Amino acid sequence: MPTSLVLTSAPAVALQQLQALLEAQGLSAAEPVAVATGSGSLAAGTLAAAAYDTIISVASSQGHHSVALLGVLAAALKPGGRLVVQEPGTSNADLSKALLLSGLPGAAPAPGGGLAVTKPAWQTGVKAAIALKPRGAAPASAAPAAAASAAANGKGGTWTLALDGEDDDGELVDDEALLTEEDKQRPAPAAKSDDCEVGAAGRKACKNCTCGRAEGEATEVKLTKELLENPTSGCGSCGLGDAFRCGGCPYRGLPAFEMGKKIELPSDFLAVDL
Amino acid sequence: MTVPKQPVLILYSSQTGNAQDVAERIGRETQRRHYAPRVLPADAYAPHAASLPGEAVLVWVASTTGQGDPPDNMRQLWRLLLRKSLPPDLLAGVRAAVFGLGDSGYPKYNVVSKKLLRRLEALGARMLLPLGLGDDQHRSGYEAALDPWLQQLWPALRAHFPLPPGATEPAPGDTSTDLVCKYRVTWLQGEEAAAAAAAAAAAEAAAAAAEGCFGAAAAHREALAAAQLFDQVEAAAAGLPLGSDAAQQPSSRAAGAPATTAGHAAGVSSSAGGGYGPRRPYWARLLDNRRITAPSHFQDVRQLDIELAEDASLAFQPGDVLAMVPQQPAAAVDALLRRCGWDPQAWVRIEPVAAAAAGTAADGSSSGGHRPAVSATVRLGALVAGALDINGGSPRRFFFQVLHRFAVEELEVERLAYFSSAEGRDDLHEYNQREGRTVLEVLTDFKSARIPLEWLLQAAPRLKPRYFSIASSLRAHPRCAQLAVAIVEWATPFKRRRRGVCTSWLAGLDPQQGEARLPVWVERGALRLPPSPEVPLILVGPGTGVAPFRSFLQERQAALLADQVPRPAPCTLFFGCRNEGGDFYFRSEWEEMQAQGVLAPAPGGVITAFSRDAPDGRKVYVQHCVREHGAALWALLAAGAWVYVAGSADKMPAAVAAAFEDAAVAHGGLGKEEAAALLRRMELTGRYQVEAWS
Repeated sequence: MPTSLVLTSAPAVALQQLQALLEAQGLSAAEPVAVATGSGSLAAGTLAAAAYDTIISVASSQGHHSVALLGVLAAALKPGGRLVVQEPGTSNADLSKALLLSGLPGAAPAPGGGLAVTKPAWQTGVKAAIALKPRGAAPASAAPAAAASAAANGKGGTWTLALDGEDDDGELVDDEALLTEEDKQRPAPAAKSDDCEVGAAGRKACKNCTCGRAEGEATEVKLTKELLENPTSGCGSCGLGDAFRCGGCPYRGLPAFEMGKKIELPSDFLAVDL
Repeated sequence: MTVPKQPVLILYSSQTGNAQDVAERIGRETQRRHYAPRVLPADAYAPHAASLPGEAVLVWVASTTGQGDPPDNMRQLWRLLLRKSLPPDLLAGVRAAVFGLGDSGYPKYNVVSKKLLRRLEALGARMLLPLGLGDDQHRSGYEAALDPWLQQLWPALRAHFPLPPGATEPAPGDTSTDLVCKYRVTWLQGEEAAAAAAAAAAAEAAAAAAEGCFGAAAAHREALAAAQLFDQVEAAAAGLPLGSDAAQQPSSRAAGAPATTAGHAAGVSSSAGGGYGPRRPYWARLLDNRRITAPSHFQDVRQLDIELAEDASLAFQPGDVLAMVPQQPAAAVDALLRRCGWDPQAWVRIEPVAAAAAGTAADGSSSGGHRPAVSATVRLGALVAGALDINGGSPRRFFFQVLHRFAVEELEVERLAYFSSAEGRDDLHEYNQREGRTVLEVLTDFKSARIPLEWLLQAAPRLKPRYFSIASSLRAHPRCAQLAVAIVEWATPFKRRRRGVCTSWLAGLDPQQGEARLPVWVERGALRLPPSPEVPLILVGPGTGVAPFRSFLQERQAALLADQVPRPAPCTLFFGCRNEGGDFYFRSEWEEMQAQGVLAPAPGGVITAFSRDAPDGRKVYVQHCVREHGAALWALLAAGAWVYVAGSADKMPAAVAAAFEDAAVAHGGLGKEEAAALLRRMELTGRYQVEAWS
């Protein structure tokens, strides 16, 4: 038989009021109905999960149906179940928003008053089925005696391993909540002056160069046709290949070559304008 | 009689291999200090998670990707550890240390390692020392933090685990001159070689023919088979249970590593397609390979049609990805073998230098647990072609350290010593990683280094599979997987042209020129359609990000055309590319879907951002379109629509999320924090899904 839950924010409710409410929502008091008063102090986990086909919650004060409370009610609804929320004085828009934030989109005005929304009939969340071997089949590890007995003392011993597709996301700790405020900090970006040295963009002087790099670049040796025909090297290392060349080497990107011998450009060298 | 050494479990969560490097270095250094390390990817340990409380020492190296997400090979173990039901003293017997790799240029700096440390502490683990925070932004990268952190780790460990009798600590400045190789190589000669060759050749020929592999595909198949045998040896050397391919390197997408993918750990859950996987790929026929960008457009994007197995063993869901291992160019493999002075036709036997030889089994069991002998007898040319990435990924610092030992010419020795040192790190980065230097190129630059095969196997990067979102639905194209692949090409800082290993291989495959076969298998993707077709979808997929959405929409289209009840709700697609005339692929397909009602009718339904078409030169991206259509999107969200974002990582996913938040504020009357909370809630409940790759 379908089960309904009616909640009111008031500390006490008259039976006639209850009946009127149920009738207005198309429910009969002959079916199993649970009643809760003082819904403002309803804590998470106090209602059985996925237990009710219909939940009706009325409140007299604005803002009573907080996202937190609506979340508690949503959890108590069966998939496919219907939640009706009445909060006179609060606009439908605000109430819909609160419902949306608590995970129940698609609210619409209910015939008996208030807003109604249906909990999706399917389970949300991405799951991976994992089959794990039970403890006994694990390869033996030489756990020191102390650790082994601590585990065996029953404290850690009952760690169930079998995970099936039924495993609900709700059973996992929210990993974001693990982080402290301090954890969320990150170090200030390093002084950017350092970055003039390294980095893909790093080797060119900036437009408003004050450090002298621009002057250096003006005198930097560029690769020219002449150099390709008759390569020379001040340092003597240019011909050895990229591994041995210094930062400003005009030959960088080219394979190893012999001094004085014409360099053939390899096909994967994207020719600079020569 | 040997005293059993203290086992140390070293787990790594690595996306691009850095965390793995760090973990392997820690493994080497703990071994030198007379511990018995086991180094594994985190998810490889997940099946044995029950043993975790019994581990005396746990070191975990965890990377954070740009978006703040954990790497793929940590997801399962992390999920296990997050269960609310775990008692707070579960890990009371464990002494732990966590080192994080991150980039402080991103807001979620090192959050994975921070969360991990907090969770381990919450479960009772006792930290040996504070969290180590490696930062890419630092001039010297993560090593600036790693070196001092390790200096603290050793005394912290030693305080609890004294030296075995007769053993001595390595000197403080000692830079591991006594590197020990994990493998032993025997070069088969004469009779033995001939026999091995004959047996293998016959078996290989038969197997290849059975799977339809001839010519180049047969060579590819032989290479992968050799790599597979080597994997077993690698696993044995690492102390992993046999049959597990946890030793395989972390996977990476064609254009890089995914930021969010629900990849599964090797050896734990079975692939989405029954029976086929990295250890046994399906050799699929390539049916079609056609360019879908305009010929004049600068980027070459292809649609590949791949024929799947006749039985349903390679069935996939919309949102799944197709994995494949590329074939390296024969010329590159030959060049490497020539450079090393090896005969490609030589046969070698590779064995692990266990563990067993060190007097204690790799898993630390004092019984000296005897393992069945593992060895790989393979043709050298096939092994190099299938197992080592010699023409693509850059080697890591350890490779240079190893090469240093074997260089002869003074200038080279000096340079390699420099590259292996802390001072040389920046220059190494510029020469190697930044420039995309390959193993072949490094060996060519350091001509005098005579590296033995066993060291090359240990130090060179492994050839990894690549992953592509499947762009079709089986309901629209049965027995087929269609892919949208952008051929990767770029210029290095030194102006050299680089090409992607996998995409350049794919680009050259022509089904018209004889049968082309690809080794593939299916892996679960991150994105999943909602259970009910009544849910309207908002799909944001610039560039090849649109691929998984094409599979979603084809699935919805099939349902609609089959008059399925309940009727699928119309969807909205945001597509971004450079030019309407250049790379607006699948255009006619979207138009057809609009006419059919799969996509919402114009002006909604298909919303495009052509970044280079604006006459005033303004760059228009999908996030701008999202903001522009905020009112309509809010109405969809309020009605319960699900949002999907796919494509290149970098700034796009964050910009799109910000645009949705702005829409919630502007049209939903939410405050900024409420909007952020709404999006977070949607993410946690699977109503806002992102698949981004870098």
